[in-house]
Amino acid sequence: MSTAALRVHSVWKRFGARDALAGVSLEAPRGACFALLGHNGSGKTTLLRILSTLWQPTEGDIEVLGYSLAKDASAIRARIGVVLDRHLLPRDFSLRDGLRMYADLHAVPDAAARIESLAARLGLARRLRDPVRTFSRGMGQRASICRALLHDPEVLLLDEPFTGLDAAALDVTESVIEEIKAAGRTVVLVTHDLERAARLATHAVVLSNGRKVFEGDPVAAASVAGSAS
Amino acid sequence: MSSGPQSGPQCGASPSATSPTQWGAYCALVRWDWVREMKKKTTLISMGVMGLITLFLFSFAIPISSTKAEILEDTRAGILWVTFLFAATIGIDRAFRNDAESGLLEGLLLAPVERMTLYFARVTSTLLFVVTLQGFLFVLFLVLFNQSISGEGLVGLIVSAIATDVGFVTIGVLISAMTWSLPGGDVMLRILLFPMLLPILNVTVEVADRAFDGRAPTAQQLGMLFAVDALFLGAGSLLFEHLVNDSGGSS
Amino acid sequence: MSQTAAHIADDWNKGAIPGMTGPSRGFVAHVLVALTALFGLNWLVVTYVPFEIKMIGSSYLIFFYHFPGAINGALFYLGLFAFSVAYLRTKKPVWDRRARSAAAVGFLANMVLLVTGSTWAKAAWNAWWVWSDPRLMSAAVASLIFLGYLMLQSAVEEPARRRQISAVYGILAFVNIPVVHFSIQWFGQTSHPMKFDAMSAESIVHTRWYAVAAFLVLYSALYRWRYDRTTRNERVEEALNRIRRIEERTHA
Repeated sequence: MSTAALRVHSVWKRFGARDALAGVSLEAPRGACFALLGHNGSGKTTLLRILSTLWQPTEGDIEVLGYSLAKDASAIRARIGVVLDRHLLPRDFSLRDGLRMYADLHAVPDAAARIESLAARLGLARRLRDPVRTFSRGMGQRASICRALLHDPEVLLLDEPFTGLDAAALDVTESVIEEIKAAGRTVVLVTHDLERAARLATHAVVLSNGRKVFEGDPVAAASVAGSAS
Repeated sequence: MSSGPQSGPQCGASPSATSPTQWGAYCALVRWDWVREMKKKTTLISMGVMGLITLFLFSFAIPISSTKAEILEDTRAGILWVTFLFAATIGIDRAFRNDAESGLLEGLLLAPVERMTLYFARVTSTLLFVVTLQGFLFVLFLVLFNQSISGEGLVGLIVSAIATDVGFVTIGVLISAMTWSLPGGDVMLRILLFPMLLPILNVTVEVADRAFDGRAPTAQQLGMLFAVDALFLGAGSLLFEHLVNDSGGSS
Repeated sequence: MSQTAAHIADDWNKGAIPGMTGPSRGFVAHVLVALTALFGLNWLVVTYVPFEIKMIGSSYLIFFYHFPGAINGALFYLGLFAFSVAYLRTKKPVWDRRARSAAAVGFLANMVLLVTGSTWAKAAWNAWWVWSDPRLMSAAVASLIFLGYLMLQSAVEEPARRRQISAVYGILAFVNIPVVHFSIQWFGQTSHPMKFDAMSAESIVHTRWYAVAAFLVLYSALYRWRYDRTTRNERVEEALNRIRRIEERTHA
């Protein structure tokens, strides 16, 4: 098995007349915190959705943890956690039930305790009984992180995890990402927040118009992405 | 497969990459679908009310009076099944639409569950809703139209209705996976689904007609219904993944 | 930019975009053969087969335009099935274009079958539509199922998604044909006999299969026309997309 957590080889994603991704290649070692930067429409969310197995590339090969996206998508799904722009929890369920449902689908052992500890860690312990539809944007975001971490994924994919969070929630989220990094997990972070990206990431790629325009040091990447937008 | 080198922090504590068995995932999906519906029962209620309205509409189409009881005797099986069809289609249309709109479908697609399992689970839960609905509407029908059925007839009716429902729901859920994302998809579902159901409705209405007369279905009739179930289940399980997987996209 | 433009112009000149330079010689020949064959069919019907058959009269002559609709319709629906399977296996748009063209022609043949059948019903039974006739019913149900396929073509906007859904539905529609056939054949209330002993006369059997062949030439010409047209439209769309992509890249 390869040592890379992610291997993306000349991936194209075409929507009619538009190339959302035009031949992107990159590799992320295990344990890296990989920031995907770029302005709106640069293709970073498209790439994240492809890595999450929700979308298929028009062309190109992708491996996650050594599993081929085209052949072993199910094995990949068991090993990744995904935070998208929506929280993906049933709106009429309490947070606890919603998380319970996903824990069942992932066959998480000792789910009740796992849910308690994750909710406590993300500052949602007192909201476990409330219906998800009453949550604010920032709470939904944190609930989504709980959901993504339930099965302790080896790779965590985050799409704009910082939007809509207040200062306290920002700090919690950031420190959770730090902990995941420290546990040796791989994190892929799509964000506009260049300052946080520079602080958290170990590697960074800047995308522009579906192409990779910079790869390397996060601090340098942040300045490239900042000047591009 | 465990790769976490150290497991100190809270967020990376438990063992990683547990994958559920497909059977376990299937049971979980069906159970949670049921729990979700029972929270507000919106689908069951809409189906029930639609069925009630359809039954009332039939009272306009057919002159029902004590002097013309034989008209009802000729048409009751058809009335019953057209009512079932119109009411149940609401639930089938929602098999994916509501989840897709709330984003939940993406969550289910991200779970480590084979697409076929997802399909069978959705077929099972929709079938549960449809059978529940039919039980309710059948009683309502007996009361409103002043009908009765013998015990033997009832058994034949239930067996044939379930055999029909399996075919109806397997194909319906498959077509629902095609149409939920389309503009005007609810109408498209009916346009695509109803013609495919005409053949089995033809058979099952005849069976229901016999049932009201207290006669059991023939082996050929049941054989036909079960053969269609097998065919639709086979087609659905092979084709479903092509509908939920992203198409890749090209020019 | 200029390189792609040159590439497209090249395609254009080589006739790689069918129909761009008018109908091809092969297509014109195809249509001429079809018209000749149909003329031959009319000639056979007028001269070769008996004008009237006892018990049926002359109205049976429409049968030679009716029967090919059934055989050719089934053939093109089989084509739709095979092309849809090929599309799902390869994901190549060419199979989708073939499937779509086959569906349109199959539906046309199906319509010819229904209209001629209904005309005959009017002459024989004095009603345009007879609900209890199992053949009329199964042909009608089949046409409704395949009409759904044609309606899907305009209902789905995104091309790749449209191809996927259409292929799945095309397979499903074809798989349904035996269901439609048997359920109506076995369980239809009354069954009108369609076979008459007199219809097995040699001249009638010959003419009937000649009619199938003649109509097949016509339907295949129509298939070719549909296929060339969809191919042309897709190529043009593709070329425009190529230009748009390059423009976007040069602007960025």
